[in-house]
Amino acid sequence: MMDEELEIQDGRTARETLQQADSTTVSPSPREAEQALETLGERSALDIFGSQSTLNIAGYGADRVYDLTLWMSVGFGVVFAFVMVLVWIAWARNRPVGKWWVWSGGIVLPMGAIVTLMVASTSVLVATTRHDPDALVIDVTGHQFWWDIVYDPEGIALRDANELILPVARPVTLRLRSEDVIHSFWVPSISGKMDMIPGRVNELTITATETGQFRGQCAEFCGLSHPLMAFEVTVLPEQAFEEWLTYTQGEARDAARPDLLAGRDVFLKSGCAACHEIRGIAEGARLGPDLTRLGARASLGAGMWRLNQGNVAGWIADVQDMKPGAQMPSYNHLSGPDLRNLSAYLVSLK
Amino acid sequence: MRRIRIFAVAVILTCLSAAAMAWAALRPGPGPLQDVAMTVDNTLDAVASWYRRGPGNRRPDWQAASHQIHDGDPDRGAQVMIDYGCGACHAIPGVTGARGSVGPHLDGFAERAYVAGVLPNEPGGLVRWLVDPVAHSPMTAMPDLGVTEADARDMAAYLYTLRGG
Amino acid sequence: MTDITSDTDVGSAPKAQGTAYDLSPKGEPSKDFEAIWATPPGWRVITSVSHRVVGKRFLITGFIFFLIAGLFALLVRLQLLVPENTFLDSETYNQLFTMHGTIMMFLFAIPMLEGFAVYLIPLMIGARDLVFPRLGAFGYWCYLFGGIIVLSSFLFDAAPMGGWFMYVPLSTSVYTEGMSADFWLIGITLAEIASVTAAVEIIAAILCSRAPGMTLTKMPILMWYLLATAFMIAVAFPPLIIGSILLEAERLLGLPFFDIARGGDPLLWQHLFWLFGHPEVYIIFLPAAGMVATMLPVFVGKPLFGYGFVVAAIVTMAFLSFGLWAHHMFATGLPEMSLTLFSAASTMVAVPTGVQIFCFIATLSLGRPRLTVPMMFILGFLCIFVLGGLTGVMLASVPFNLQAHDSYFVVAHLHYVLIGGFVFPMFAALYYWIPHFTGRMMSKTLGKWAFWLMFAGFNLAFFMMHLTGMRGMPRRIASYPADIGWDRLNMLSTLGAFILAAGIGVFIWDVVRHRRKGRPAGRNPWGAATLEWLYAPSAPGYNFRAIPRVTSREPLWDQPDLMDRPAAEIDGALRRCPDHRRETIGCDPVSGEPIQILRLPHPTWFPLLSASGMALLFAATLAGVYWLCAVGALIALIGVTGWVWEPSDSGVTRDIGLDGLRLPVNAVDKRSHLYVGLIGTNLILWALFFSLLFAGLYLWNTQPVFTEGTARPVEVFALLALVSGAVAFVISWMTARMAVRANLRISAGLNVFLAVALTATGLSLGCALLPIDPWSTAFAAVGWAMGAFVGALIGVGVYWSLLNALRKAVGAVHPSQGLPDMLLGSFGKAAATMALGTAAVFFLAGIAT
Repeated sequence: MMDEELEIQDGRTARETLQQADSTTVSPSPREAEQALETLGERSALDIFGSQSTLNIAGYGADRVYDLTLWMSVGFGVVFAFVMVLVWIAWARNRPVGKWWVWSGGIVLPMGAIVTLMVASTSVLVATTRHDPDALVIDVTGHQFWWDIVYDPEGIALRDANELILPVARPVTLRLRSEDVIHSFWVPSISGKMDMIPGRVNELTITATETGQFRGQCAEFCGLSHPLMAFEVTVLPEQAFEEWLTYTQGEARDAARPDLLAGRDVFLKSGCAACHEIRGIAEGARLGPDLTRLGARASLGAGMWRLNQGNVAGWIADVQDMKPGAQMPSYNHLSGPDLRNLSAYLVSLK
Repeated sequence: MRRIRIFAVAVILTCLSAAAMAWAALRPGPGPLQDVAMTVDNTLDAVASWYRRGPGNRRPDWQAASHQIHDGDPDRGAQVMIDYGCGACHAIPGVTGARGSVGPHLDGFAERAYVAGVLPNEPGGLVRWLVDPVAHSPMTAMPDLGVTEADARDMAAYLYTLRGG
Repeated sequence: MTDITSDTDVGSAPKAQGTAYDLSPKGEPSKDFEAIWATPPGWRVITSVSHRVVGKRFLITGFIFFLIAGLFALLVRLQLLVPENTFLDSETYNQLFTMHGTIMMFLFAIPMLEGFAVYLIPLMIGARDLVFPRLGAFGYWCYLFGGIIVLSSFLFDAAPMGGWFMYVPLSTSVYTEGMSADFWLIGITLAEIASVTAAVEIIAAILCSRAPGMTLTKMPILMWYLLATAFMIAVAFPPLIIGSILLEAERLLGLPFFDIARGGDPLLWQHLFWLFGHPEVYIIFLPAAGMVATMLPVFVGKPLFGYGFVVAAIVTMAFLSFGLWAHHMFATGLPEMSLTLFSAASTMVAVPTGVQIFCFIATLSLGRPRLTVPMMFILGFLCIFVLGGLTGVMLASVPFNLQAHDSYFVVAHLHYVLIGGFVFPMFAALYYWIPHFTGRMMSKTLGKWAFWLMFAGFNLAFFMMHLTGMRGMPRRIASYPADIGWDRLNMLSTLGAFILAAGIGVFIWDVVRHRRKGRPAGRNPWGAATLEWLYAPSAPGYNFRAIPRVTSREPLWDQPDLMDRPAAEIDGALRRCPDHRRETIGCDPVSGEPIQILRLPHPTWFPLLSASGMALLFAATLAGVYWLCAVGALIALIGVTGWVWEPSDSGVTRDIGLDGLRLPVNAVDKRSHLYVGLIGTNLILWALFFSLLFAGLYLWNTQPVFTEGTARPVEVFALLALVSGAVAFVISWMTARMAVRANLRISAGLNVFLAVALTATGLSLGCALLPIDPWSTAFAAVGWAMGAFVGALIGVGVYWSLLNALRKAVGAVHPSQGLPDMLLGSFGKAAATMALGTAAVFFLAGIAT
């Protein structure tokens, strides 16, 4: 339902290679897939009204719960109005009512409502928590205050951060863990939430039903910057998702301009690589988010700021101001040109 | 008579609360009800930005004339500053989320004599700086954000509304 | 309940025990009745233990905390007025919402209901004071000092910021450095002492000091509510106390209760917390509903509809509330089966709630209701609480809960339930009972303004939050993005919050205003049916000049002799006070027939002294000055010793001046208020014990690898503890049996034996634990915690038995005064049983490989 909101942009070099690959494969709607890939990262869920709403449905779980919510709201709305009318009637009349009021209103009515509710609720619960052995597996690990994401951990093990790319209409099992405190994984538009508890692995099976851009957020209070721990969710057509997975496995894009090359050197010599990985440049670090495709993400700092060079530069220079309590120190000792080049380089990684 | 009065008050209150809820729940954008909603929005935005900026000094200022950018739209300027990410480095009153402390605080920008210490603080100088800071100050940490001249005008127009406390 | 009434001869004239044995120096012969009951003048009023004084202290302190927490809420709302606001930084915001929740739950709601209970119970049941006035005063001081400790964290720039639920591992020292969490844990634990003492107090007062003739079924309905609440407090608070102590031990000593690296489990904290946290909601709601059930019939002019239904609903609710704590944990990945069970249990609460609500509605139909200010608040309660209850049923549905949990929908729901279910009835109650405090009526016009501002502001603020939550806004976030659909809703919520605050402002102004300009209230201004209105509003400190016989549930309506003449002239028991002591009538718990004369304490410093010692102990722990802890403990011990040293009062029989009954003073009887109070205390101790046992079993179940690797207790010593524990049990049993017909020499000997047996048990348990390193695994640490708990119980038992022996040795006790031994025996049995349980657990763990 978000499709009409995605604008068609001029293709970029990276996408052009994909378009060629695309033409060789069979796809139900190649044009749609192509479009979705082209516009990936162009628009942040921060700019979309209702991107984090349980009422803006884009997943099987959210869909079933929406129906339940709707019927419960209507039903309990009627019950509420009914009780208020009874209060009014009781107020107006002077004749005592019989004991049957209490029997019917206090016992039969709630029991009826409860039984109906439990049947509906349990059927929805069973339907939404069904595990699918063929589901794609994605590991999501919560950190204070960002998300580490590994696609298909038993297969290609593609590591990314703070942005979840999902195929439409395909069940995905998320294995949720936490590295430090309790977090909670919640994408309201797609499914209910599930806590990420240190020392445990909680599984949540979700199925996206609509393509588009959505927003998820940590729902369990996790410390100082809990409000700043969100992430982008992009639901792609199945075809585009496969292509994205294939394409993104590679190494980071090469730095092609002098300022970008200089930026890469700053990255390496300033110690960024101790925590951050950029595949093909500096590998192995796992303490911070993977930056291999930072520039292609829709937002910066775990779904909190629009991704542009200004924000990246500000982030590097003063992390602690933008996200108090984050593990990363502020790199305010970089010289002006170093900061400019580094931010330009990071934004160029797509 | 008393009953009618109570009834009327109840109806009016219900309508008011329904209107308030509709306003709160509506999605911004074109639509039949939206004109009303947007009017309320704009009023409240004004209140909100007053709340953010504080009451401040609203005296007419001789500098205002020299800072007038005729084709700059301050409202749009505040919006594009969000899109370029200015707020990550600068604290800019009235721009949502702009509270960075990397670069200078831009409160009272209209009162400054120089832009970044290199260009005189006039509309032309400010716009040139925003479009290409590195050209004017090679060692600056402020990146070239690829600001178009049109955007720069709007941003400058907004910055000249900041007169400080 | 059965063993309370066993081996007693119900209702018959008691045996005369010793003719005129009287230790008269305890009384104040120079004073007449009025002077004995007078509140100490000037600053010495802090020594007062009268329930009227203590109750008002609770209410005023609680209300001040309400205003502080409300101010925090306004700051929070101001921050959320616009998106990405910079008014408060994250840290301050987190501190404010944490303290808002903490203060509202622990320092406002519970103390406020305690205040009403302490103030109203004796007045409504026809007693002159609570049965343990010093305990009430002690509780108040603990609450005050605890509250001050929690709030003082702002002065040290270390306000708690981990949420009122303090989830681990966020609140462990790894993720919360500094003292902020310690302030919370230590301050709140101190304040909780007030809650559990209030539970004992309420149980004993309601069961043992009712007016002659007030059977259980003739009690005012509020008494049923408070009785159920008190039992719930006794069972619900211990898990939190245990949890807090374990967490503080982890922070302070590094014991690994919740540390996953050493076999702890973060979910254990959640279980312990919500085992308390869910009943807590009903603990807050029930007394408020009870106040509604008291006021509503007054304004309708007819008795409450379906008294039996309501009582059954209260009892059902009290039991059900313990079976649904896990509905706060649906998203933690519990198995589907337990999800469904807890979901069903949660929805079941709708039935007893529905019964009560429908009884209230049916009451409205009985007569022609008067629309007074309290009545408006009651109608507001009906409207808001019903809506909150319905969203509560929605939240009990697991799939919906997974979406709504920790979103603003829950914030809306819980405020509908707590403000609708507690704050509105509380304001109704304040309007209703304020003539009792000030002797004047509050303004009806201002009351209407206050109500409508509060009602409209509340609904504007919180109804929007349902939608904000469905739009996906999580709780506890200091800022939110601008364009995703939350800004307008939040703006309206903030507006509503300020309107609500304006309503409360009008109320406060009226409170100040009416003390000078309010209309004098006169006798029974609302036309109420219960005994607290017997006197003109400002009743004298003794409540009742003579305690009348009660023959109806609505005495002021059905017993014309009560309202026909001045209150001071009404016939009743204990008009005379030949012993110059504060006294009231003690009754049979079921029939309400008088069985004894209760001696009540006069103003004393000891509760304040003991509470100061406790506060010093806690504050010194917080500050890390451990020698000062010892000083605090010593002061507390001196205070308690002085408190209990008072010569025993039993052994005298006297005419009470009603129906020609001669009754013993402080009868040695299982229906004694002291014995009932001890049963309440034992209930709390058992709940503490089972919380620890639960922690051990839980870890054993969820962390099998670590429990396997834990060192085992020494079986021989565990066996030894079993034997000596059994001996201690037998001696306790004998002590209790001997209490009635004791030879002082033998019973003193038994006391010493008991001390020895308990010490032996404690030492054996300690030796059994020796090979276990408590820092190795969480399981080991829980074993040590159980040992420490039983050790503390044994310490109390030893102190108590030696004290009893000493009192006999110095001649402070007369042979017929066996009550202390009876209590000691009962406590000894409980302590020995828990020691036996622990020893058995250790033994089983030792032989299991």
